[in-house]
Amino acid sequence: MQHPDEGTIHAWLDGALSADEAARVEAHVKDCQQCEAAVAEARGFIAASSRILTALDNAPRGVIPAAAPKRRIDPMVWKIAATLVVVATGTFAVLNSRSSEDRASRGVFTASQQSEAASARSIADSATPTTPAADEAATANRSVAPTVSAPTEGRSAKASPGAVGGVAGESAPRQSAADLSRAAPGRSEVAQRRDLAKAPTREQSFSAGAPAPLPAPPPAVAAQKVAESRVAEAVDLSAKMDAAAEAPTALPVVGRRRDIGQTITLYEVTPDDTVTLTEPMNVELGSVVVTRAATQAPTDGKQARAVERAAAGNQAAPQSTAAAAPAPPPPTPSSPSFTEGANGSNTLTWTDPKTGLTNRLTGRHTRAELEQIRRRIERVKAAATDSARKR
Amino acid sequence: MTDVERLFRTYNAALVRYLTRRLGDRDWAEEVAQETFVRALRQQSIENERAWLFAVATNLVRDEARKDSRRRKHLALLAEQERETMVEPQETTLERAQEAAMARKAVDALAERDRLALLMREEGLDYNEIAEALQLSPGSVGTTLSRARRRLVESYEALQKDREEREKNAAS
Repeated sequence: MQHPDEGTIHAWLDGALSADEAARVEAHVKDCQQCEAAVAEARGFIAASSRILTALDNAPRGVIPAAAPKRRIDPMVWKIAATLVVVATGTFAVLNSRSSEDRASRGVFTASQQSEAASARSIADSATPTTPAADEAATANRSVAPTVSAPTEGRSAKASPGAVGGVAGESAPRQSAADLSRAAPGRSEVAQRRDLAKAPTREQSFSAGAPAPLPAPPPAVAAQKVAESRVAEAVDLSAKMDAAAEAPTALPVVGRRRDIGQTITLYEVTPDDTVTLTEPMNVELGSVVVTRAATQAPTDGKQARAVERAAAGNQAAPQSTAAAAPAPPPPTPSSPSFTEGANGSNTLTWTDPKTGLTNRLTGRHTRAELEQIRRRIERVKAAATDSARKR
Repeated sequence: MTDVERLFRTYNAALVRYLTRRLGDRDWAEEVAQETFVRALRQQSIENERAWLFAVATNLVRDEARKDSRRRKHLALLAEQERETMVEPQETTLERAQEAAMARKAVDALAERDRLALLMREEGLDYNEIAEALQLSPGSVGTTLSRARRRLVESYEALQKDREEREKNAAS
């Protein structure tokens, strides 16, 4: 037999020959040293080329072939999550320290600055129809809510954007409680009130606006005291922290309507829950002065006048024009009556000690909740009164 | 299991490897392989599946794979499942990268027909299948393969020798 060519040897090694051909090649190679060497070489080529081609399998690709792609993703997810946690924590810490720095720096607020702010607010009070909203924001710090949540602050800030911006030129949509109180100058006053609250009688006579059973200092003296307490308060950082910690949620006013003889105010408790405050207007009592003094916020005006009366009443006889001077003031403002409505809407009715008129607060709340809401609203009004008094 | 699924599961790994070796790019290889199976779907009947698939894939490489996104999606899904069963290639070291570069160079140095025949053989195609896919006479496949193997190994060894000498020069 002729020596098989290289192709035949490869074909034989690849098992591609017929049985006859394979037998012949096998027989020949056994006896032919030259062909034996050729077969050995062919085996080497086959093995080597296979190995070389295997090296090509390590080819690049956009995505490396993954045995388990999901497992591959896991560590990355963890890294991202960890990063987020770190960033969030850091942000919180920075914001936190920054806001307390703000508070501290605001502690150096001088009395003159404060009076400026106060007068600015007074202007805003007279100019802005949404005064109660502004005052809500201003008195935000006075609520008893124990914790402050950023969204709520943001909301209360937004609730009175015009007023807040108008007072201090700040209209950042998201303000911290401290910012808010700086913008709407309730902050220092709030703290002041907290100081005053240490003398409960004064606080009471103040918010109730009733002729004080105990003599209150004359306005001038009161103003001085106020200034003093403000300065003291400004120095008292811890009190500020306190105030900030107790910064509350002001109730935004979402609507107001004036019917004949009454004002109906819609307060938003939560985004989908509102309460209605119905306040009769003291029309017959001429209020010639009152309504003109605050045409756009008659309620506030009334209250302001009532406070004026209250203050004046301590040093002099009530003015003759103050026809609205309440008869014997109701002993406590906290003796309201509660009516359960059929549709889950309950009503709290009480008599305003300043005006002697009957207010009604209606909403889908329990009595305790309604009373709490009422207290919040009254605080707001007290702040309005306060500013009106200064004006 | 549909027919295309059976075809895919039977031949995809070999076809992708063949195409990867042929193209030097795994993504491209998978794309061409998928296109090949899409073509297979349109066939009424295929006599020799493996030869047909490798022939079509080879032609597609020449013609540039066309897109058929609808069916590609299904096949991409199958490829994803298939990939999970594949052994992940070892971490690429410098040594391995150099070997791969030399292998690529050596393979590229082959004549097209020799290269394709060799790559098909490596994927287990027999001589008749290779002949059918490449439209060769069955008797010439052995010669083609022996030539391809010899040239591949010789050029690879030459490249290896060059490299060793370069390294020696760099070291001295």
